[in-house]
Amino acid sequence: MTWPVVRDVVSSIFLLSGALLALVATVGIVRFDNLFSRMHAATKPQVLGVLLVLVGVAFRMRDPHAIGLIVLVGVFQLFTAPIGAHMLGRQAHRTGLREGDDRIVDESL
Amino acid sequence: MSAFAWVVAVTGAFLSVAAVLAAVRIARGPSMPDRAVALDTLVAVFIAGLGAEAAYNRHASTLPVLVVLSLVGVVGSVSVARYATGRESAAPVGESAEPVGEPARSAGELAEPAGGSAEPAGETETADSTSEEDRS
Repeated sequence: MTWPVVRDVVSSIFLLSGALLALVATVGIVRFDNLFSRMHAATKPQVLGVLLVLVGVAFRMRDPHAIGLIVLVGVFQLFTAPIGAHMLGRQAHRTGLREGDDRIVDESL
Repeated sequence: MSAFAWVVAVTGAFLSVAAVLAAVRIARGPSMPDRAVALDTLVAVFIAGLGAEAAYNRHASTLPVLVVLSLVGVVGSVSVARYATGRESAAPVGESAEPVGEPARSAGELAEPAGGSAEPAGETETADSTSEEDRS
């Protein structure tokens, strides 16, 4: 196989795995029964799924300057996704949305 | 259609189903944090979809849109967490100072937050009906 074909195949594998991860995670968001389980499912495509798709896009690009923007998207996603998940989880825990939480002692309060 | 066009079509189909499922959770979600979590996932699905389109056409013109989405997507969930999740978010100072020095509470007491004068019954009712709906 020539180099462009190899790049297309690698890009296809990364794109498909990222999209499949997003699909599986949203099935989890719909089916899980409490907020923290849903958050557990929802934070996977925000980091790993987006990064897989971005690697696929990077293998497909002809222009090397586009790689800089793709890396920037990945870095920003790595910064902002934990911030949002942390704020939501902390606030939901404090306001008493704890159905399905079966811990005996809660040391975070 | 070339082989890569089929790959992008399957990717788009996966992402479309994922977006519909996230929208189902946004519509059904019993509480605002549920909706915010699903909304964050929907933004991630949008980023993946725009990236797949850029990969198919080999152009970089939507990549700045991806940068903006990855930066701004967090604003929704942070603002929901900060301002729209219930009674305690109105007074963050007293809330953070309150639990210091309290003895360890059991899980049964944790299920009912202390000082629940501002209608805790509505919340527990919503939670109960939701879990029953999901069980069936």
